Amino acid sequence: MSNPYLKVTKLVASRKPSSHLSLIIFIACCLISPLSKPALLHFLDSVHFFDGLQGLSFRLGGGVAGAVSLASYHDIIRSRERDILNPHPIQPKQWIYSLMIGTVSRTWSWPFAALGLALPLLWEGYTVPFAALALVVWSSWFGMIGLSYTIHLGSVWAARTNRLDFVLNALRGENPKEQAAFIYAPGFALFWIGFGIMMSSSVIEGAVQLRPIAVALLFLPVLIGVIALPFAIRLSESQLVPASAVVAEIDARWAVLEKGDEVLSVYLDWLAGDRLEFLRALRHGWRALRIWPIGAWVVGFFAFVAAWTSDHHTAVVLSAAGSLGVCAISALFAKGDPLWLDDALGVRSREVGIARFWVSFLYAQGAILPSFVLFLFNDASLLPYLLIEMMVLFCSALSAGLSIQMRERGLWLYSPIALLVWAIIGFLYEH
Amino acid sequence: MSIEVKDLGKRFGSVEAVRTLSFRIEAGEFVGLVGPNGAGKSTTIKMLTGQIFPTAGYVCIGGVDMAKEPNEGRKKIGYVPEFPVLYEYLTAREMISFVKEIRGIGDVEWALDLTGLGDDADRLIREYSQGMRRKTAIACALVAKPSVLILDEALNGLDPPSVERVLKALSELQELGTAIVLSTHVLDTLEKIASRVIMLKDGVVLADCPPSGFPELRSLF
Repeated sequence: MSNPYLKVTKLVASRKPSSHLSLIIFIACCLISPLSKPALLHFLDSVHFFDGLQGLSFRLGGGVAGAVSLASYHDIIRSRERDILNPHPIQPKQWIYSLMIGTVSRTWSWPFAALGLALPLLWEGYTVPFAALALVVWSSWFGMIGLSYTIHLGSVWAARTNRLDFVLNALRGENPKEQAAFIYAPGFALFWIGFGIMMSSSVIEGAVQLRPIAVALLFLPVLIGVIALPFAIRLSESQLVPASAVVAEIDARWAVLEKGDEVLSVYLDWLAGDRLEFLRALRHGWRALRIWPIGAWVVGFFAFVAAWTSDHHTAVVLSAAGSLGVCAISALFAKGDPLWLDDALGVRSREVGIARFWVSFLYAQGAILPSFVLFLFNDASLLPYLLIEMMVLFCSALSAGLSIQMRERGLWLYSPIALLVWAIIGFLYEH
Repeated sequence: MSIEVKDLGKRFGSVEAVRTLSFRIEAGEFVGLVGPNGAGKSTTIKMLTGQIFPTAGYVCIGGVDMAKEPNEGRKKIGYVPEFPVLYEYLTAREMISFVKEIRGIGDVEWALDLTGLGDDADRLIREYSQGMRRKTAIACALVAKPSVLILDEALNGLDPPSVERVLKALSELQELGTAIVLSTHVLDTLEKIASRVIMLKDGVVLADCPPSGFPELRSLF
């Protein structure tokens, strides 16, 4: 019997203009591979070659698997196709198969793109190590497809059952319980496939020497995926349809939250205690300018990734740039508050300035902490981070002071001074 | 096939969208679900069709609990959501054929005729107006001639001749024994066709009466 979902997917794909995104990603990765050459070879030369290769294959495999986990979450839980099919009964096995084909066709190029970044290995003549690396990455991709489908469908069960309430309520923060089940699922899938990738990476030396057991272990993530697959198919029968109701529940809960009064609890408010001006600044920052603290964490994430791949220089530069950028937020706090209004309201400038100083200092930590923690565990030199923190202290004070004296126009003075401070500290560090 | 709603309630966090609803709709009945905006109509419809699960009570369609077996329940229902979403790169004929295939039964040409899509049936849905999209969604709901038909503001955006045509089709299905629920905030539409009207306000049933009670209902709006 033909699969109606697959038939429609193919028909739509044949008519829809193609963005060739998969191909573009692959070509882009190949084109930028010369840039990855120094880092890659440094990575492999800095330690015993196979230790480096093991680390590289673990990171590339993990990166691809993580991306696939997120893609399959979207396809299973948040696919737009759900809205189309919701009014109708579904045939779970056929639909899950069609969804899986969709995930495969959307992500097939990702392992190739990851390997495109590692092309300098081939240029340097490491053909067999490159082939072993390719097998680990490809196997991570394949394994994650099977495993992530099982875990995402399992997360629907976790969202609906009462048995996991105590865990989900502990993890959920301000999210509805069901959302907690969904948002932790990609990480949970990555955690389990991570074991497989770690094992297959650890035998890469043996695989290069063509030891049969080592070569077989390269496919461990595939085995995990294949074992998980029947569970996914079984879970699809009970969880694929209810997933729509869970998603609708989450969306409705958020809609109610957004329509309601402002949430009183904001980022970092637990630090405010009874300092009212500080609490006010935290609330203002989170409600009106939350892109800044979120942006700081995004930059922090990229710095973390750079530190993870042993690119310490980029990690430090990203942390410094991100934190200095975020420190400018004090000037934005003052936007639209004329001086006469402060006078009329009896605003105490000193308290306001101190509150803004702390808020910008704390927001900046988002850009610093992730890579700092990695440096800490890697026993790398912490001097750059000490200097960054000093810079952030100075720039937070500068920005807060300027926001009181010059309001948002303080930004114009803050930017060149902050850059100058960065340049001076960078110069002192280098010499 | 009957629809049984017992002590139905739905709460989103601190907001109680539906409090305690109980009613029963028999085969061949045409029931209008009316009420002002925010009365809980759409939430009720979504619980009737298994799109969301109740926090209290239950909905049974032909003896199937929609929260426990939503997919089994969906097999018995034809449903037109308030904002239908369709495959943009299919034609209406292909879309309706697809629904027929997944339901395993249906008459595509009959559904197309009924909704008057006619010559436009072979154009891509992405080229359709809102009204034509709605007609396609209605045809999808009707194609398998389900025992229960639930329409959420399904006549919005249709031109008067199309409304007439759809209402006529609904009448025919009603005569065949289909239980029909039409949610709307336009009472005039129901006067022509409904055998009963349930009025909701603030998540509770304010009135449940035959068409003869319509004048009274108007005063409650």
